[in-house]
Amino acid sequence: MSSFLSSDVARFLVNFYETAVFYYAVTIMSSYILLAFISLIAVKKYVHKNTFTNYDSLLTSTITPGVSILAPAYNEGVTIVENIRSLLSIHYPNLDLIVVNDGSKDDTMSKVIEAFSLVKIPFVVNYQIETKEVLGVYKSTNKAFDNLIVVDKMNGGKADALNVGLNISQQPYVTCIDADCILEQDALLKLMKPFEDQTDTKVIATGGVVRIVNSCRIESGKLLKVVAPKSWVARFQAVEYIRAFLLGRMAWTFLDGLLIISGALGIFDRRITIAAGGYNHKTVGEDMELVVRMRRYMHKTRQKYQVAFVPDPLCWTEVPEQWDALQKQRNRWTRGTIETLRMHRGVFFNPKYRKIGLISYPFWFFFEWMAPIIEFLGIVYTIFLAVFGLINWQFFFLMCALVYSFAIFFSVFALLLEEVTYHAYGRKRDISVLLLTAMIEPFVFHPFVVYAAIRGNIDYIRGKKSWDKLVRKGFAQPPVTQKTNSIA
Amino acid sequence: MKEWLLGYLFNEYPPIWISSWGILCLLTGSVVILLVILRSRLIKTRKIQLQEKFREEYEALLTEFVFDEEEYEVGEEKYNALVFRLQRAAKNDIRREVLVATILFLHHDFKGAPEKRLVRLYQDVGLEKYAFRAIRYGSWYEKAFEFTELGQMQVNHGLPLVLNYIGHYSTVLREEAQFAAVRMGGVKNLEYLSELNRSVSDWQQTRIMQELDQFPLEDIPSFYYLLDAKNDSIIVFGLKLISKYRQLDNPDKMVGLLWHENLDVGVAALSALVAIDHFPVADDLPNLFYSHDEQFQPEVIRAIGLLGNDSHIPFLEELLQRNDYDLVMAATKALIRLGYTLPANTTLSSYNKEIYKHARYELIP
Repeated sequence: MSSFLSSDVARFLVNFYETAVFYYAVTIMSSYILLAFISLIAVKKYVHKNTFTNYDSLLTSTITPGVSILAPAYNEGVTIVENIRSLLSIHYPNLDLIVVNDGSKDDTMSKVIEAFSLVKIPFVVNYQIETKEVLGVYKSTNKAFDNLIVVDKMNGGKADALNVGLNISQQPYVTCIDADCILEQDALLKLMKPFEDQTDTKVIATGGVVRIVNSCRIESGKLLKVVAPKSWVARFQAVEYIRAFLLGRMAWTFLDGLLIISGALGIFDRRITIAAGGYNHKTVGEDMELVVRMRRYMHKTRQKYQVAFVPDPLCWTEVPEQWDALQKQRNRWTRGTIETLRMHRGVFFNPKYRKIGLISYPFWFFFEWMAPIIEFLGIVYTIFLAVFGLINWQFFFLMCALVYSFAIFFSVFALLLEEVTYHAYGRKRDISVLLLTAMIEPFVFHPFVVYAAIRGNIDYIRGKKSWDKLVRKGFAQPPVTQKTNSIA
Repeated sequence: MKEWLLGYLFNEYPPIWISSWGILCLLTGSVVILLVILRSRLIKTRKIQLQEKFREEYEALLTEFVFDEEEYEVGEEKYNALVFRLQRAAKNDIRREVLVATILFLHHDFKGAPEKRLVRLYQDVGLEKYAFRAIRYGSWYEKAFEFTELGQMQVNHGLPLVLNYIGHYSTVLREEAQFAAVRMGGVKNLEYLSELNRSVSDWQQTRIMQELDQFPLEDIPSFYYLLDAKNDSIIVFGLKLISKYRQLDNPDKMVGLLWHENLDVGVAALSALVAIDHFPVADDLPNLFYSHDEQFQPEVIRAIGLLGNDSHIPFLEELLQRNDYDLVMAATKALIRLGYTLPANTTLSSYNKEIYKHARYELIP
């Protein structure tokens, strides 16, 4: 072994590996910094533009396009009634709510029937997307709930339930609001604006920024005060979400290469969604997969299109505060990414798909999926060199300093953007806490995320398909108790 | 120390010097950003405090001015003193910003005499000269804001300046200028629409339609001239306006648009013909049905249900036999609207019978 390690071949391999990894790291950091600056331009432009927007026009107009909220429910008997009431109170003039009971084994269905005086109606489902059998469609006898449709169906999973909602909706647009989210009152109005702005380029979907609600003050389903989370696990995620949504997605939208709209909040053109085949139940990352498939459909049918993104904080979600729950979530995200990339491998460097084929997809492949793997291999390799006394400590510490400086810069840049635009964290203490979190994150949170991603890769190879549903703490806060306004 | 650092920054081995420069730039950048965040917070806090202070001051002053007509009679000493005071205040950017925002806010809420008094005060203080300056030299969002301001304050002599921007390549500038033009010059200014090359978004159409609600019905002109526009989005907008105001001048012009190559125009024309109850078009609808694809066909059937008569029942009955959910559903609804009841000995498939029941429930729950 020691003779091989001192041979020319070994030296060449080591040099080659180190150089390749070094330039990979420089490329990834440069790309992120470039994206950050693009976001800065895009967000500032949006904020200026938004000052001229009076959303009341949409609220009071008689020609506002309709939106269906699709809300899949599985064993949600405890919270279902309250959540439906909350969803029905969303501000939007032409809205219906389609609750899909996905074969719950508890009393979800009976509770809804009782609470909203539902009766089964004659209804023929147009199975434009194949789904599990629909057992019945219910509407309320109370006119106050005229825009509520409840569907009872055989169990088929979240994607299947959403597809039933797509089949049943008669509105031009649909939205799926994820579990444990609090929406800003004007969230749907703001998300619909890009559809209303479209002229020659068709907007097929709009996504919104998701922020973290842990420790914030909530009353009657409304967010009253935004504060930095108390738990460190949630704090790390708070900084991460600001980075991902404000810097990442906004820049990709500007470049017309956005590949994902968070399952937590997005509006889709129903006709295009159905034409593209609806939600895919074979992946745990159905939100990203749907956007990629819709994009491919638009390319195939040669239609000019756009995937829009609204940088306003519109949706506040509860994130896991336990490491184990976080690991499961990140594990699933990794598997979802791999599944989507694999299903759409035909896009990879395919000039037919223009920006998504030549830029977005390769970026996701090299920098989202491969980055944790390369990082993990780098750690193993460093340990190997250290064990055999081959490590150049000077270079090692230099690399660590470079990566740390980059991590700090990127997080601080994201916080700057948040500060000069939305200024959601009003207290000095909160922004100081988030800055401190950004300094600690590379030592604690980032290695854990890499670990979760590696486990996701391993689970993918093993063929794991489950969701590992997260157990949420809920928004109950003594003395004021409040639950979520969503269902699934 | 210096040599040590230079040894890194100018090292011959690229990964060393690239990393060293990288670290230096990133750390310096982070420190700069931190300082910017702190500074931004200080400035923002100070600005918010000032704005709040000025807002309270001007809101009280302007409310008093608006409601105390006798005390602040135009041309009298107290009014002149107020104008002078506000002219001085307007020289300060933050004060002017708050003053204009307060005037616009109150103007939006008040109608009648108070509204006119505010416009008069705005003009006497000479606030429009700052707006004109911003339109000439300001950034795009300042220009757009000033269009809104001039429009709301009806600074009609600013119209030529605003009209320069109604076809501008910047969407925001274009839309705000178009909107301001309608506010300043009234409905007749909508004529510019027929000349536009760029599409008008649904959003802009909604805003303009809402603004038209402010005008008395007798001032609303016929919008049929918009149907001659070369821009399809303008034709669609024209059809929406005709539909909204139920204008019956020349329905045949709309019938011709049913076969327009742009499906959106066809759909809008059909909706408009339904809105004005143009029954003669019903006889052309079966032909229209066969000349279009499945995207438009359900709309045509719906129109037959609303404008048709008994003579259309055989055509619709034939559609009931089809194996297409959307067509069967639309045909069933149309038939029910025409007073048709499914015969007991119907040969419809059980699936289509279920669709019939569904449609019937939707129309007659």
